Amino acid sequence: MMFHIENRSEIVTKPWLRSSYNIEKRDCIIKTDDAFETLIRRYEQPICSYLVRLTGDSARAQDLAQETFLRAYQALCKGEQWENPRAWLYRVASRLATDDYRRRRLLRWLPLWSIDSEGRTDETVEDTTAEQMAVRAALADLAPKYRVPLVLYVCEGYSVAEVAKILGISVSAVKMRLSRARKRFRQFYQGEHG
Amino acid sequence: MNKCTAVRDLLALRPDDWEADERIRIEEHLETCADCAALAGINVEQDRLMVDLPGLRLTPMQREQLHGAYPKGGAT
Repeated sequence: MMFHIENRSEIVTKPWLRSSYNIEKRDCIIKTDDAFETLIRRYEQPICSYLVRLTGDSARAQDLAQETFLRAYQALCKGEQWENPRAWLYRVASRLATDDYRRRRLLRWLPLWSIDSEGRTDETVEDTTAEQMAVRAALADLAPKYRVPLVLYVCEGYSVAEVAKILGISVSAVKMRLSRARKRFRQFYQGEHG
Repeated sequence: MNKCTAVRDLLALRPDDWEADERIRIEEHLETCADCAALAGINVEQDRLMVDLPGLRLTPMQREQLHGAYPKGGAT
C-alpha cells in the first residue's frame, strides 16, 4: 500500500499555512509536528506489534500502522486533543484491522509465514518457531470480535474497563468475549500444538 | 450456570479484574477442582505465548514517508 502523500500537499498549498505573518497558526503547526513526532517515537513499535498479532501478516500490519499514524496526524491537524493518545491509537488500529479483515474476508487473513499479497516474503519467517506459528494460527482462527479484545487485554495489558472504552462496548460484553476467545483459542491451540 | 462454568469465565480475566467476592469464590473452587486449577495454569501459559510473539516496527521507508507527510517546522 502506498502512503497517501496528498495530506502534505493539501497542507502545504493552503495559503494560510504559507503566510509568514500567521504566527499563531505556524506555532500550532509546529506543536502538531512535535506531537506527531512524539506519537511515532513512543507508539510505532507497540502499534506495529499489536497489528501483527491481529493480522498475522507483518507487511499488512506495517501498512495498517502507517495508516493509523497518518490518521493521527490528520486528527492533530484538525485540532483534536486526546486525553489518552495511546488508547486513541489502539482504537483506530483496531478499527482499521477489523475493516481490513472484512474486506479480505473471502481470502482470510494470511498467516505470518506466507508470502503476502504483494509478493513480499516475510523476513521474520526464519525466526518464527513452531510454537509461535501455532499461537498465530490460533489467533487467526478467532473472529475479530474476539481476537481484538483478547490481544488488547493479554498482550497490551489493558484492563477490562479500558478495553470496553476503546471498543465502545460494555464491560460485561468484554468479559464475555474474553471468555469465549480464550476457550476457542485453547481448543485450537491444543488441537494444533497439543 | 454451574460452578465450573462461572469460574472459567472469571479465569479469562486477570486477578486485578476480579471483585473481592469473586476472588474468594475462585480460590475456594480451585482448591477443590483440579480441572479448573489446570485451566488457570493453561491460561497463564497461553498468555505468555501471546505476549512473547515477536514485535514489529515500520520499515525505514514507511517511517521516512510518515515523517515526510508534514512540512517540518510548520509554514514555509
